[in-house]
Amino acid sequence: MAQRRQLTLQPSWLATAWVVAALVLPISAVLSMFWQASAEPMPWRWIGNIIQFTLLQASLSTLGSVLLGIVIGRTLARRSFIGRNWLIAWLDACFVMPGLLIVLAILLTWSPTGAVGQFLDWKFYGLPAILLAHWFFETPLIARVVMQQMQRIPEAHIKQAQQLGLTDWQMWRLLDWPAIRAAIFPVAGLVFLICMTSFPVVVSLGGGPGSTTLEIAIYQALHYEFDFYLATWLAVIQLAIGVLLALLILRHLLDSWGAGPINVQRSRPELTSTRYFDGLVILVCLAYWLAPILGLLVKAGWQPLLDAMSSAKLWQATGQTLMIATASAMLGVMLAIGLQAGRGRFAMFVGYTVMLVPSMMLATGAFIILWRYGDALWQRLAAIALLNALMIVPFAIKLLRPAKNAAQARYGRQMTMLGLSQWQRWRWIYWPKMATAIAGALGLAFMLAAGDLGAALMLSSHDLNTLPLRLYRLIGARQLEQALWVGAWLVFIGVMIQRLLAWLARRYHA
Amino acid sequence: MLSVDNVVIERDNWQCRFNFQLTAGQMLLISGASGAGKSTLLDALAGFTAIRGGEISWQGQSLLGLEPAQRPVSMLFQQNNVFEHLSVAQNLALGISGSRKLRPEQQARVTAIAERLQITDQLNKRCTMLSGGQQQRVALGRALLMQRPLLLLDEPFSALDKTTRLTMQALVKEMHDEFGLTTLVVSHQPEEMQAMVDAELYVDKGEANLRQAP
Amino acid sequence: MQKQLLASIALVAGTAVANPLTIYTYDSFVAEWGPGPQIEANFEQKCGCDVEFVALADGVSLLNRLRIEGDDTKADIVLGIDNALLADARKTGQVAEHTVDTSELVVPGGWAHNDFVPFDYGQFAFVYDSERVSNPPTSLAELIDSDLSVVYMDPRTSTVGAGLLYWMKSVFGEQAGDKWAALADNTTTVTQGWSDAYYGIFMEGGADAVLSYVTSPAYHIEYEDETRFKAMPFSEGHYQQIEVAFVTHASQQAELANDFLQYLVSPEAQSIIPTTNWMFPVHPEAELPASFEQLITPADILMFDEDDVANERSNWVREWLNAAS
Repeated sequence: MAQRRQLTLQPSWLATAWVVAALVLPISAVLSMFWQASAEPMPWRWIGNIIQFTLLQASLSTLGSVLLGIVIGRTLARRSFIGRNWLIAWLDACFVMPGLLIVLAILLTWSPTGAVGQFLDWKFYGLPAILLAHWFFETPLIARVVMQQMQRIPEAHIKQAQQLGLTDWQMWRLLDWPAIRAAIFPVAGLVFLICMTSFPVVVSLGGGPGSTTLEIAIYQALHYEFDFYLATWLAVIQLAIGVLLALLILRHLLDSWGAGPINVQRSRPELTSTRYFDGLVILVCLAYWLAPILGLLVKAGWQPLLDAMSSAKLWQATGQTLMIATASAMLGVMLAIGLQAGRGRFAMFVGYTVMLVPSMMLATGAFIILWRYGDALWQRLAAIALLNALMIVPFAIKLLRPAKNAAQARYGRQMTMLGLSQWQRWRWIYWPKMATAIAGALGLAFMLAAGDLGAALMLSSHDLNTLPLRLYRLIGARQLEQALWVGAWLVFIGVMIQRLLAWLARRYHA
Repeated sequence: MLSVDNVVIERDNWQCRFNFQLTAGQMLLISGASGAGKSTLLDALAGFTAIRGGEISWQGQSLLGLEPAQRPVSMLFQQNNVFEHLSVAQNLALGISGSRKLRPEQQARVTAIAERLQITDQLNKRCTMLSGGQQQRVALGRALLMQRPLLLLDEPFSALDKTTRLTMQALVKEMHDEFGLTTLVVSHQPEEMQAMVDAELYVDKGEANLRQAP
Repeated sequence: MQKQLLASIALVAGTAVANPLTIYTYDSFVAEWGPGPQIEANFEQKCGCDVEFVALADGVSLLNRLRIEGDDTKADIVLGIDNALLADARKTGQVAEHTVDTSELVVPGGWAHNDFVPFDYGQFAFVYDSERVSNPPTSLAELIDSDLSVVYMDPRTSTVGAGLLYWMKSVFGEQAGDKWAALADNTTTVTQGWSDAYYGIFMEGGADAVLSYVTSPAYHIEYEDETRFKAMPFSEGHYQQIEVAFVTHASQQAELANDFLQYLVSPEAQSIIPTTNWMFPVHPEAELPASFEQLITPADILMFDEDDVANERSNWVREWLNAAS
């Protein structure tokens, strides 16, 4: 019996080996170019500027989202009004929306030609545009965490506080802040990390060499200039900052997010003194998050829809996106499952390591490998799918872990006593018990991969054409109305796939 | 012979000590207040809890260092003994092999045990559709199919109503005799079983005293 | 060795080999409104052969593609790199000498290369809307110091953007860095491509001036009957772009390729260029539309030697990166 155990190929080893290889190969490709490249004088001043800008925009994005998120989260948590649940659902949607759609919303509202922007005399492109976009999708995340934490305050405490006649400020200081404090810092760290590496927003709204982040600079050095030396330097700097940050916040990061669905139904007893303030906050919410999309739909019109839908490029892009996203989602979720199959801590560690490595560094490596060993369309598609699968792994682990742990807690001893192998455990227990969670993870993974711009843009060629690339090109050509429909189509596909997966999971259980 | 020599098990802030022997083929009732360490003892025998000192052996061979699956032990817990999402047949089959398909003679063993336990009608049902008593029958059937000489029961029938419980206890006794098992039963209602067992181990605050059957 | 053998077999077989004449070019050249379709149809009729365009994003992509494909390239002709990329093009080892008669061609500043064939040219200029901007600056320095909002292209991705890089350098020399920094104050944004800036931002009212060509106003006159868009004449002079084509060494139908280039610079093909590519034709007998008469005439034509461009470009880009950020 002991012999057979040793001979069995463990899924966790397979997955670990795969992920390690997928990380090590591109990184070593980058490093190999680094040693080969002839050293040209480096634009150090510019590099200094972009490091500064990268950190500045990430800090301001985080600070703004946290402040806005706390104000909005508190208001939504304590005030009930018609459409509250819809607004909350919409804010949630903003967080998972493909980045390019947010770019579109911001452009159509705030740019010099946008609905509001045309009346403003200001420098839109650069920091202001980037902040507006980052706040747009990071604030909802913070607000959600705030609401979640405030739900945990016992109702008796709130009633007591009201009997004592505490002011809003005192309520905040004595009840809300202590409840929020523990959760807010890890989430802020996550937001910082996301903003630091945000690709579609900065590449579309940066506007000039000054307002560029490291992530974008790597892409530009390679794609614009074929400059491996500069690209590698930038990637190494980015990696160093990422590792430094990770050392500071990683421990908190891992348990901070993906806490699963929460129910924000109950609103707390209302304070009349904050009525007008709350009303104002809700109005701001509606104006900032809802108006752009409504404005878009009104402006979009049917002609651009026809243009978008009748373009052969759209269907080509749809096909390639479906291929990439399906392959990435399946591989990514399979890797996440494999990494969790064993009890080994190492596998989990490997899974989370992916989060620290700058995705542009991996894309750069893939670019070099393709450049050396062939760059047919299918090779590019496969490389993009692999890169996206890797990016999905930590998210998928996070989503699957609770279900896996529940099954383990329930049946762990029986499985051990029966002497089931890793494969058999998956076959008989984990797979059926986790089907719903796996469907959910596949759906999210599909959405993430289908919305990816970074890897696709880095590896783009004349015949590579995904929906985000199409969207990016249309936004570049300022065909915003057509872009809107392409974006809507992308979201539609994502939602349909998610529903299909949920349906399959339900059918499986029935 | 099951031999438990000076076994010490560390709990949070106290220790359990066990020292007894059980002749092969006998049935042992383990009683005592809750929290006294009854389940801990069974966990240690099955290999789910590490022991601090002492020796556990079966037929002269030490069990220490063996994985739960390698021990001559099958165990039923208070709950979650059957995999509810699988059918009765699948649950039983897992007692023989985790592979997809059973060989014909293995399949015959499944059919035989199902008949013996009167669950043939349920074979293709999912376990979620079964009553608690039936579920424990399936669990017992699977334990028997594992063909391990020691059967450990950690109050698997405590959640059942009294009639069903008595039926199940009688069934266990029948199986014990038919399959020549050595059985250890933890029970909160020792009086219900005292008549059928060969000995009783009374556990109190980590000290165990073996009493021969009255 | 094997390649040569194949080539000689192809020569023996002569015109019986029905390979299409493959031309790598940038995509707006072959767009339905571009010069490509008409020139293709005309030449196919003359030679009784098949012409196939492969469209890539821009001149830089053309060379990158060629660099990667090397001797395996399918291209007989590469059409659409500009005078800034000549040295880079030669580095691919694919630029063959041509047999085209260029004696009649006229390019301001002259043309003395026997490996590249020029087919059109134009000078860079900032275009403005005369109904919005009443007192346009009269020099590059004045524009930089003005408070007009400007949109231009990234010199790393756009040949027009690269044009501004050379223009700034030829006008300001050592001071170019400071001037870039000064320009950054009134820059709306830096786009990747020309059309993003021109149609996406300038025409939508997002900027007062856009980097383009002196010929751009002619487009608005011809197609929109609109005279309000004008180019700003600058006293320092305007940097000139010359678009060229060349025959590849890998081509197995060099003769046919040369025939095509000869046709490209003929009065007939050159008459197509102005209203499709919106550049000046190189043949003096080419017909010019009336709108071209309303265009400004640059006070001076600025051009760098191609080797200087090749050697210095990355330094100039670095200077821009450092200064404009």
